[in-house]
Amino acid sequence: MRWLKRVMGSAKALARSERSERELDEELRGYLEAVVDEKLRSGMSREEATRAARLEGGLVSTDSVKERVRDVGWEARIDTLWQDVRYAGRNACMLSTRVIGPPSTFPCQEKLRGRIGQLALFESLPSETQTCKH
Amino acid sequence: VPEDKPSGLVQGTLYMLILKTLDLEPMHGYGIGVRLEQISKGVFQVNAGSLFPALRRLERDGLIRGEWRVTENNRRAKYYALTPSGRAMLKRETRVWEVQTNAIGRILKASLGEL
Repeated sequence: MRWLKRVMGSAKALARSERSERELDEELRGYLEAVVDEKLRSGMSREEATRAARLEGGLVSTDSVKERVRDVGWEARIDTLWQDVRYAGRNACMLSTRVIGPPSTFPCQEKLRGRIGQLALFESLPSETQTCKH
Repeated sequence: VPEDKPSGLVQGTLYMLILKTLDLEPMHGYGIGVRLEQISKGVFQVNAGSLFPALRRLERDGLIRGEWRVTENNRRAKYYALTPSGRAMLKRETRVWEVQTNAIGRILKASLGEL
């Protein structure tokens, strides 16, 4: 029955995403209408008001705004991935300093650069490797 | 762009400003933009392209909560309100901001004689 749970879970996630997409559409439509109303009140024609609202409201392309909102989800995943990489880097750093010899000989980062520092991962983590304590 | 109308906010401050706006009362996206412009006396104009991703992020992080309601113009709109974590975050961020702006102010006013 595990497969059924998975299918149900995926369906729920999809439904949530569709609902969230519909809500975003409605929200952006409402936002645009509110800006158009404001322009109409200032004496513009509907056509002018709509054009001005799209320009000033940053809604020349609704799709690009929606894209940016959707990206927030991806950003979260990248954030999580980045945290995982940093965590893995910290653990590898601590492990390598224990394996590689007397801790007092060189600073932690020097050891990493000298012996296993060819890995680009560590090159990009100076602050993390600096904080390694022996 | 006139000098007193900077084209963008200091990076990262939009979240704090939205939280502060919602600390005053729950609002929909358009209302938040108008309120920010009003309080800043037109210095900050936040458009949909910045506002909605920020709202999504704050909602995703549990700092604000959205709820659909009917507006005074009889339209449906999503009203956002601060959550307890959002209120705590606003307090923290405000404190950090004050410390930083004071420090920046001191640096900008510094003269050799004082050092």
